[in-house]
Amino acid sequence: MTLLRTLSISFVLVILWAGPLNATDAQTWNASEIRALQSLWIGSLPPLPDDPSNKYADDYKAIALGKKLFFDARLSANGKVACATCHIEDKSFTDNLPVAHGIEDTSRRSMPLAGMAYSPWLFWDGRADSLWAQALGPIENPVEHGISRTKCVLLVNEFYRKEYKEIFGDLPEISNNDFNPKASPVIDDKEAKALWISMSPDKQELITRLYANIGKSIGAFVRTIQPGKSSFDRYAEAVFKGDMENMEKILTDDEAFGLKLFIGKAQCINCHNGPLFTNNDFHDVGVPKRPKFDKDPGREQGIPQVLSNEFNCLGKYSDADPDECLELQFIDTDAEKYRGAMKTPSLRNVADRPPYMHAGQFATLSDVMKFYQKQAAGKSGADTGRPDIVHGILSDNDLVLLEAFLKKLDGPIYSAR
Amino acid sequence: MRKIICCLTAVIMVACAPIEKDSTITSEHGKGTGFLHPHYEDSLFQMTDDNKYSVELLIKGGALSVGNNSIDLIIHKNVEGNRDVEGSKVTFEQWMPAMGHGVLTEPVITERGAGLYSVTNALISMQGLWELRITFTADNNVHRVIFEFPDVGVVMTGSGMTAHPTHAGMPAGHMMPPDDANMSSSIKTDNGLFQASYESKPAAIPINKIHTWNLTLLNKDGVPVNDAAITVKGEMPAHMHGLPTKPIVKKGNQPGMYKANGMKFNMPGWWIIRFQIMAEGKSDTATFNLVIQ
Repeated sequence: MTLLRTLSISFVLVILWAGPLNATDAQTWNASEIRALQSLWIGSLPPLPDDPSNKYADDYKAIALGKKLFFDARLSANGKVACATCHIEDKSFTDNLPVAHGIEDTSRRSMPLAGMAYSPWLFWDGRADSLWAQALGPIENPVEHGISRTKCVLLVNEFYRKEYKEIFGDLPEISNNDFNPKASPVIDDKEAKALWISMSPDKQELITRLYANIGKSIGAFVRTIQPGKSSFDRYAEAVFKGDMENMEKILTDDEAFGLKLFIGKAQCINCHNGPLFTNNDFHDVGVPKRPKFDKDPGREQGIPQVLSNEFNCLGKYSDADPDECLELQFIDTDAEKYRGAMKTPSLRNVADRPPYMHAGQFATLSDVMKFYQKQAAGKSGADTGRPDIVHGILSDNDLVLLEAFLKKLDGPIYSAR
Repeated sequence: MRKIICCLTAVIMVACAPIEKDSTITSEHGKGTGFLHPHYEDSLFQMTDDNKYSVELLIKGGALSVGNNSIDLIIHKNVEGNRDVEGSKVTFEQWMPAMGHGVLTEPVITERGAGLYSVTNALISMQGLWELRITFTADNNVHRVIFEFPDVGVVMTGSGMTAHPTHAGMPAGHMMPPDDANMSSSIKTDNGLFQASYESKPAAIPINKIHTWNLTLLNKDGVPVNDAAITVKGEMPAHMHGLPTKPIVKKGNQPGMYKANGMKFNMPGWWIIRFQIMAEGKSDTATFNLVIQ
């Protein structure tokens, strides 16, 4: 095939990107670039969207209870797993493991939580459509918290009965003798399901309603977890003011070049767009699958799961009118399009939270950059025939600059105190 | 290994009648014997593996470039007598081996006679290594050739992708529609059967927010078209994905008015929105180009 190269190269007009940039170029931004910076700037973040499915979403008592529940390891089979076990506050509300570890290893990496209230879909595969529905998944997952909804309700009744009543009103007397703590309709266990079926519909309904409220409380707290201003945001503000002195103080030329690549040649901004650096959609970027495991179906499986999730926006435990459930109504159910697709994660604080990708396939940011570089050159050895992404042809130095920029997406993460 | 031949420098002007440069030709190729040769100096030329057929590729503007390309194909058979391969079923695919994908937009292939086939709307969505994969039928068999383009670039002047003055808001690296793309929100449908117009609510199309488009449909006589069955699909030509939602088009409350609920765009850049319209016993497609800032 090499004979081609010399012959046809003369035939194809090759325009290289501007060539090597010099130092003044790094800190100079044209009108279109400034618009791109504005779109990514945290000041462009709209007000927190309502969650019509959770009428307690902004109730301060619900937030306070949710915070206690988030950090409470008693809500687990071994008394050691809280939400906060995998979503560690000073690790950007995630952990540093390739895959989350609750009772046992799960199949995917813990997702960071900052700004998740802006996302229409939760989990890597979007199988929940609200923060409260999301919170209820891990509790009944045998490898995460590993308890049934019945057990969860009994524990909350035991430890948080007062707080619960203040938020959600009346709470009937619940005796541990009346409910088997193993009973669950979703845990993949014959005994758990048989015990659930043996409960009266009224009791099933009571437990599930209380369980949904527990989720709404946790969701109300997670909703408060928000990103703060990063170096990038302060740099963008200096750019908007034309304050060259501060610009150069905040980002070095290398870091600013990296930003130029991010919004330009490397096309990262195509999916990592908006002030949270995510389009909230799902893509198969072609990362290698987890060794010794099958390829993860991703969103292809998340779609039917969210549609049948009893805690979704259209379900009986949702507080929303059906008209308010737009994302669910207009969900794209194209299984082929979403085969193996995972949610685009936010890049805020990305440098603080290795490893990367949905199963921690890459240990460092540098590995991620190299993967995208090889992939664009067709040499990644990835296990998919149709990766979704389009990154430009990147030089080794481009990768260094991009990584330097990504480290400047550092910023505080706020949550309800 | 695939056999790829790219004969550029060995230019032999053959004995057949010259073909006009704009390729509106009737070829007289067909005299003489022996190997087939290209007609043009600046064409790409290739024989099939069995040496029985030749495919000559002539790219308008001289080079394959990011954006929409128009390409003429001349297919000949290595026989004495009539060498023109006519009535062939030709397929044309732009393929990006590094990405393992092609493009969603289908090229339009028109047979022009005497072995000439014109390909228009051949979209190249990004820079890099591309293959043009061509198959054609002849003598009850399917034949295949592949032309490789190691480094397709952006043409800064002329046709194809350019720095587009009307889309200054886009960061560098975003693909823009070709200069001749119709960016209007009121267009004739592809086969000219209807006039379709859209209006976004809100007027400035938001990113990452579900919203509604109003679509107005008139027939050739300017009469509102009611009771149309309409479906909608979106596509980002530079990427391999469409809208993140599945919008639903319903009849509006005024004559010829429809509502496309559930529109949502999750990326800035060039989008193509296609409304498939079935009405008045006919089917046609309204194709809108738009650039979202």
